[in-house]
Amino acid sequence: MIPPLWRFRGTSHYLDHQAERLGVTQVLADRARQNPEIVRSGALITQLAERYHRTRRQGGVPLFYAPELAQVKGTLEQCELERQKLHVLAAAADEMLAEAWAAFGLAAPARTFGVESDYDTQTLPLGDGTVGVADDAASPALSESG
Amino acid sequence: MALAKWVYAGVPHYLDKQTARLGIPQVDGHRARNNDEINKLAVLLAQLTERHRAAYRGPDGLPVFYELQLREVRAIAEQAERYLRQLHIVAAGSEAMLAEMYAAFGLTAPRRIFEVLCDLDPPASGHAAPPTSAAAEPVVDEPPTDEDANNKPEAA
Repeated sequence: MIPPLWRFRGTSHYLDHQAERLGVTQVLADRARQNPEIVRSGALITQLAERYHRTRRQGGVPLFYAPELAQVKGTLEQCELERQKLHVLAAAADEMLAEAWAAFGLAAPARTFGVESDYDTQTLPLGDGTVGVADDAASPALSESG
Repeated sequence: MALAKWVYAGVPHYLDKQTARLGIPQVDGHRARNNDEINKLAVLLAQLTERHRAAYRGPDGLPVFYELQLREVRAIAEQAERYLRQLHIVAAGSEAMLAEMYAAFGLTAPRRIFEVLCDLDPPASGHAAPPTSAAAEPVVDEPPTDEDANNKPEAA
């Protein structure tokens, strides 16, 4: 059985899906379609989709030469830059708004989503009724050497 | 309780901080400055800063806001929240689009140390990718040779 081919469904499909996932109204997803970064990513991925569909096949499976794949990878890396920009923007917006809510003494609305980094320091309960940063998380080098 | 002093440092300050946090080159942070959503959000925050600074100060130096003023502030901040949501949607959408692309070409996605996470994601789910048809795994072939040029591949 020949596996189904991948097809790029356009930016709107992905934005709608993510709006649903994050619990955000679809209206905002529709408005976000004009975002330059996502439009650029969409254009690059459309080009790649063309390549994917025009390439020769072996048993229904697309076949790529290594140089072709290297070109694809280069284009994808460009998309990665756009993705990075979007994450920086989302995280910066988060921080800016957090400061504003705090400045006016207002409670920020509960959000179910955010940009998380592997290197964010986790504030954990220390077990003695207080919270803080665990010693091994704060200075892993010291705890390893000690 | 409202803060006595709030300095809104402008978009570049926050972008630079986040690029450092997420381990992204500063160049990308600079290029992101012209984004529409972040600019609109910055305009709203600049207005709020004005209100914060112009507010009447109590004897303790803290700004005093009437309930009505606070409601206006809350409404403006809610508008800013919408831009924040838009940015999270497009960031998560770009993640999903790219995840599909890497899978379609059989390439390994680069290791990323950050992503948009949602509390409502099922545990250990491939949350970024929307439900879609499973892409065929492509085959990497050797570079073409002279022999290949004479024997063009035929459709399966």
